[in-house]
Amino acid sequence: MRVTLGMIYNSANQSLGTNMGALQTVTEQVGSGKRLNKPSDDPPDVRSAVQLQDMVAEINQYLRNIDAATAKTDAMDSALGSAGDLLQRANELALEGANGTLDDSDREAIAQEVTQLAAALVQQAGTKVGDEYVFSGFQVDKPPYTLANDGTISAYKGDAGVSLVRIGTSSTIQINMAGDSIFQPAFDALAQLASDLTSGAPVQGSTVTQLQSALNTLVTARAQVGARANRLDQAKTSQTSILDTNQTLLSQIEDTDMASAITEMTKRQTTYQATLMVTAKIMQTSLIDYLNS
Amino acid sequence: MSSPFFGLDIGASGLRAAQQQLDTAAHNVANASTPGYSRQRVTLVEAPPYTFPAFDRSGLPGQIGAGVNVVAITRVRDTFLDTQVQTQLSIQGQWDTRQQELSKLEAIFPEPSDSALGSTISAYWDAWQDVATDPSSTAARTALVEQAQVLATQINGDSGQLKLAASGIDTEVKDKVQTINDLAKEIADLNGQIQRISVTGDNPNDLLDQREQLLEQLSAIAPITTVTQPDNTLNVLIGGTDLVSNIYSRTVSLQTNADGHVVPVWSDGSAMTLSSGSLKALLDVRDVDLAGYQSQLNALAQGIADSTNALHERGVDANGNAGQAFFTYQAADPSGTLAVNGAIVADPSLLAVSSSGAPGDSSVAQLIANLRNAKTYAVGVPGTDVVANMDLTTNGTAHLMTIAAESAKAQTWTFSGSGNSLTLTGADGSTQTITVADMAAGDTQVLNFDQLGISLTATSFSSAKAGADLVTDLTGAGHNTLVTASLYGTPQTTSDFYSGFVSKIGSDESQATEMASNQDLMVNQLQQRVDQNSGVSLDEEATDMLRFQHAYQAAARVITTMDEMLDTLINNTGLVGR
Repeated sequence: MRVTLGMIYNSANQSLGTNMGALQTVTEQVGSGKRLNKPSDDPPDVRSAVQLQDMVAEINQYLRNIDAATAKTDAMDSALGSAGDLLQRANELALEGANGTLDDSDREAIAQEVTQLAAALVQQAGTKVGDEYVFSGFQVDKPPYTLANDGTISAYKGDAGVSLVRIGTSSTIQINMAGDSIFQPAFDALAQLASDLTSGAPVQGSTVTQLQSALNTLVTARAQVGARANRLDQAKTSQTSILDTNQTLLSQIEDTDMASAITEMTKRQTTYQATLMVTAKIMQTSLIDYLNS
Repeated sequence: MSSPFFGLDIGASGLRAAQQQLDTAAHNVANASTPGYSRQRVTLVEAPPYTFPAFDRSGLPGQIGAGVNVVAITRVRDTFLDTQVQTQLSIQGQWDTRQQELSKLEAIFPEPSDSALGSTISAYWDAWQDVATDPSSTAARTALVEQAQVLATQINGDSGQLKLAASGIDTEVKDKVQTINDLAKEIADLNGQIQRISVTGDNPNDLLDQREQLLEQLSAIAPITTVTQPDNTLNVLIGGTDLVSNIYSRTVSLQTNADGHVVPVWSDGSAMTLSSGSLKALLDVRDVDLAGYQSQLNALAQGIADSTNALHERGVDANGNAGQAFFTYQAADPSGTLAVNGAIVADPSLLAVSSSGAPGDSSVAQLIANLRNAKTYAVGVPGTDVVANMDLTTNGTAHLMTIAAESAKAQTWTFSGSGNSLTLTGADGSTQTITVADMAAGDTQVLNFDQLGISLTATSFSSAKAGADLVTDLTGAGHNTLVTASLYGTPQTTSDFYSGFVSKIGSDESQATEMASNQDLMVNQLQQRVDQNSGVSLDEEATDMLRFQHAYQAAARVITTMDEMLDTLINNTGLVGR
């Protein structure tokens, strides 16, 4: 077979080029830490990686939502707890006021405290998280109840709107409450109590029952909020775990396996050096070196 | 007896022959590294012997050899191999150029990454979700408008880069056409020179090598067929039309097509047929691949914009007015002109995130945020179709707040039913019947057609509403139609669509890279064979030079011998007795 100078040069060039090209790819992967640096590196895997990235972003958003919802439920839980305490106190006052041995001035003193309790309850109902009132339904810029200068409590200013927050791909949770269903019975009961105390007669049995029922409403509402808080906890745990899974998957797809990449790099370097040595030896000699004329 | 100088002539012819061979060997060695050089060989033939058959021939025994003639200097070249090389170079030119151009386009979408378009789209949905969670926060609204602008700008930018790439290809097409014209002229020129020399009977070896080089350059650009004429000129055809004919060349010119891009045509306006070559690759990438990517990007922009707008326009802003379009774009160039509505940018209170206008109501923002995982959304014409925010006013007022249709089929649906029973039927026949409950004032009811993937939320704000009245409202003639549209042709989510788009770009480029490297191997192999046949082997030339040198020396010795003989004859004959 006839072998010319051009052929030797060409094939040496080809080998060196191929090895250098492979070396460059591996160096890029090791340097960036990513196996996928552009879509053509592995089109089907890139497709999965892009989708996974969006999913990871989505789950992070849900975690943020859960935190925001938790802040609201915690605030509501605390407000309802305090409201319950207030109504408990009112209950005690009612029982005291039901005692027939009190006189008008004693009852007057108790009535004062009841008014204070009602004012404190208005405050609890007006709990805010950030800029939003949590007990006003959709009317988050208005407190559900306001206290006039003369002590009268307004009608409910909110509405029945249900605010939902998304905490998972197909799950939402309500984060507000309609204040009137929770607090109106309490205000009505307190008003009735005050009225009884200033009527000159002992507190009626029906008023005490009314107060009990209002307290139950508050306790039930607090239990509901507690259930929401539990649900948020669970959601946080499960979303965190889903996030982990997806991030691991994403990492598996797009990150370079350092060990095998470095091994590949070493292998290619060795091959490259070997090719260089062989090329140098072959291209040096020809017949002309040996002719002496 | 022949002339005494006959032998001298024979010797001289041997000398001339050896001299010529040595010169040719020297020429080969000097051009060992010249690209496209084919080694040359001297053709030696015995000189016409003496005597010629004739009536008056000499009586000597014949025929007497008369030495050697140098008949021709030929180049060693396999023209069949040359034709194969030209064909493969065309294919190589095509795949190499395709791979280069596609890798430029691929660089516009460097996925996966946290700064490329995919992440921006995710952040856009996230921003809607933030507003949905906290609708009265001005910070969340401002952030949403900003993020939407970032998205629009990035899509504009990507679209602009695609257009820039298309103009870049236009420039390259012009360059390639210019090169074709230049090469054609040079080949025609060489044809002329070769013709003049061939006519005299000589072999224009070096010119033929040059012409072959030009043909190889030309075939990388466009696939050629060649027809050799008897006078050694070459007709070159592209796609069946003559480019070079004898000593004349045709020109390729450029025409602007309907899209504003240049297309190569023959000077008489007829279309050029290109089956391979880098020119075809440029045109294919620009007119097929790039145009395809541009229209996918347009579809992405339209999908996000149309679905967001359809839902936003059903919402109510902070001032109680119906929402305007959230995104604007021009139909002729959606991705290049996508922008957030200027009015909303100037005044984020125009964001229509709610259904009822109440500050804590973010139902529309929720729906838009859910578009992230939606394949379809509800769209319709108020007054003609059932739409979100519709007032339902039979016997008490209720408000159709939102329509969620993320996984429904994209088609038209019709409501029907009576009493408390409501049926929704799609154009494809799928149907579901549900019972509608009565609502007290302030109640919210979800009409959940879960088998169809559609759910409607109705609220009675100020007064009670009987279920049967709700059914009457929704089945009233003239507006009992519900229309669902898909975001992207075949139902898929934005993430599916975008990742598929990016993946396609990747696999186009990856395929081109693989084909280009395969083709490189193929061309290399062929060129090795050409080299094996026509290349200069220094060892071979060195051995030949030894041979020619000895032949020269021997011929010189022959002349010396003849010279001594003549000397004997001339100076030493007939001297006896002097």
